Amino acid sequence: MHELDVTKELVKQIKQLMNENSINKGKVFLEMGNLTTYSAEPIKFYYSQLTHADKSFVNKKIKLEIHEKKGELYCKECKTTSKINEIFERICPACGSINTQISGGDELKIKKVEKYE
Amino acid sequence: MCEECGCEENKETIKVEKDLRQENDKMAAETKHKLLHKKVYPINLMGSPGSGKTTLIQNLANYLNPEEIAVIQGDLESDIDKKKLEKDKILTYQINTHSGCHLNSAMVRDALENMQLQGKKYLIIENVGNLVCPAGVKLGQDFNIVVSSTAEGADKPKKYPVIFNEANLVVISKMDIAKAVNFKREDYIKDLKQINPDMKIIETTNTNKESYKKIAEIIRQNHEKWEETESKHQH
Repeated sequence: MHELDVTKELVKQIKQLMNENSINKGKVFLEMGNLTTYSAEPIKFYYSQLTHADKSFVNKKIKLEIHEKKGELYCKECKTTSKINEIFERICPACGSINTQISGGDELKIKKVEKYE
Repeated sequence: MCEECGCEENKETIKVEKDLRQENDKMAAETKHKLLHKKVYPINLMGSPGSGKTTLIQNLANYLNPEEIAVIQGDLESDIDKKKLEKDKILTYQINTHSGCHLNSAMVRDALENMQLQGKKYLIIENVGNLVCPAGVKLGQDFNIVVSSTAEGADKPKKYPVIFNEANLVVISKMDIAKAVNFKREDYIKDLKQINPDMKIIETTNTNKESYKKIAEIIRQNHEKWEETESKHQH
């Protein structure tokens, strides 16, 4: 349910991009780290509801594509980066050390927008 | 778009790289800076509904001067907690989100515009009772406290790792009923330490008010460091 706040912000950013780049048809790419508490389905749902009710989107179609990015754990011992699924996975899968830190998976950003004719 | 095969023509790609939390975080950073300038130490207090957040503030007022504490209280509805704290002479501003499951930096900024912080040393922002939504939403705080009661069970860190990951201090409340609810203390502490080995953990019980003394001390020390930082900025 907290996805509503960030989806409102997403729609606001998209409207700005639509204005700045004269976009009537396009696709926005959202990158979402899997170590956050955000989920793709609620964002997609809120996105469709918000754009449906917004006159800036009448006769315009901007699709939303969400790419989930896996969490990353950097090991200070063996200097490798491994992919992780949960924020409490702290043991390096490569060497077993606990001397690690999360180095990715916290993203929630608009990567790019594609403009179609 | 080509009607035959569905391919997109004349594609132009515009690079964006914009975080959706940027606006909120920018406002939070401004709030934090203003509070540093005023030497008021901001704390984000989180936890499940009924975990003991408001009770924690009431007990801290026995070890910190209540006149030096300001509280922003977040709930969907009602001012029950505001009335509780005002009885203890603590300045409290109530935010009712109606349906919002967490506070955000715009709400906190608006609250602060309506509060008189003269003479205050500590700002405790009691977030909406929730272990999911407040996690990662910056408000302008410098310290995160998560209150987790024995009655909720020892599996909370495993089930809600994000909020525990960002906690500087976890308060395990209601230790007086730990046995009655079969609370697995060692498992709980082990899981917390795995998420963040530097995390402070303090157990509290209303049958021993001294258990709150240590928490007050941590907050007082943080405020002193905050004051020092501000003094250095001035010179």
